[in-house]
Amino acid sequence: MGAETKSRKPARGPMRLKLHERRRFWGQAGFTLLTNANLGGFFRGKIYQGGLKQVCVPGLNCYSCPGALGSCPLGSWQSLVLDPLVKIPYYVIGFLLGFGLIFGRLICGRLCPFGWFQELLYKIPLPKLKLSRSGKLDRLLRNVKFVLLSFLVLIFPVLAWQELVKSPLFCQYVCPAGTVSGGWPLLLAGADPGLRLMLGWVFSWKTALTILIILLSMIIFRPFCSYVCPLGAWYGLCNKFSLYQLNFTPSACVDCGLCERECPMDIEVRKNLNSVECIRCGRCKAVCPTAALNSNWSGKRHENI
Amino acid sequence: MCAKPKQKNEITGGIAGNKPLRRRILQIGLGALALTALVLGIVFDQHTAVLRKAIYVCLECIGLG
Ligand code: SF4
Ligand code: SF4
Ligand code: SF4
Repeated sequence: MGAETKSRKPARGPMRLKLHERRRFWGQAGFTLLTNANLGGFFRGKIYQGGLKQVCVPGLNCYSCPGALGSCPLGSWQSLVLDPLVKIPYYVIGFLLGFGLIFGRLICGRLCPFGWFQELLYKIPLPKLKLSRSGKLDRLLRNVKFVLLSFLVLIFPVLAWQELVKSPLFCQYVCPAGTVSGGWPLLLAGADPGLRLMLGWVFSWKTALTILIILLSMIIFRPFCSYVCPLGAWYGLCNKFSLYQLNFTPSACVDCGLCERECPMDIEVRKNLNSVECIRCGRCKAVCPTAALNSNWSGKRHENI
Repeated sequence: MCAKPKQKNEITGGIAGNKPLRRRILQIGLGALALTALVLGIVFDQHTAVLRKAIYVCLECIGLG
């Protein structure tokens, strides 16, 4: 390996990364538009009421958003658990298991509208905060999404079946996607004056929480995905066994460290590939100058170490 | 920090470990479970239950409930 090869190789990665990020951006934009194509709804202040709403979409996408054509899996999970005629939501279970099994968190990195929304906010040129450098606090906060996931999967159904809760608690008190894409546009459009009469402390709480998440997203990369989203937590667990897998071939690695430097989730890429925190944005793979990082859809991992 | 990992498990670790067969069995099992659940959901008309909910503005979702 001559000096010429060494100096040529690292330059390839950053160029490919730029191209990859452009493609990813348009992929995210395209999928957001595709699943929220009822654009007229934003002006009319009315949500889409057609048959497509019976199909769940893989990402966090509120079904009360005027643009939404499909249904949010988290909202559907809660509403079916609360429905006395359903109780066990096989439909949503099959949907989430299937998407998790095939893609894992590739949905977060490439398809989810709310993940994309946070990435757009992060592009605002402001000083950035790396919470991962704080070590303990970051690790502690990352567990919050698993606590919320456990609550939704294990505790919420029991409370709902005992009729101790009667509303979708996560949507009601936490989910900022509902406020950003449902609450605010519907109130702004003002088509239903009755909605304004219902404003109360819950709306104030959710608005404050949403504004906090928006502000944090400008300085921290995807804070909601990293710390709060139970859907991301589920897909993250699926990273371990999904058909889409990232692979690392140590013999091809020149130890340049670009992958770790470019990882927006601050993962030690080569040590913890397919981590539950990996949103599968593919930046590490794109920037790697030697293709030591790659991926496949067969569910296999290279183990040629 | 960026040192090359030396052991297999550091790279391939996790609940499925680095045992390809175990992982494959898990994938097939979960795939079968996902399909069964989806079919059951459709047989029990749960997609229309989703539709019934999703065609109305969910007041809880938008923070008014
Ligand atoms: S973590 Fe949640 S909000 Fe973030 S991209 Fe994944 S599904 Fe979307
Ligand atoms: S490990 Fe790679 S694919 Fe995963 S979040 Fe980091 S850069 Fe993206
Ligand atoms: S795996 Fe990471 S450190 Fe190794 S060559 Fe690729 S980018 Fe560089």
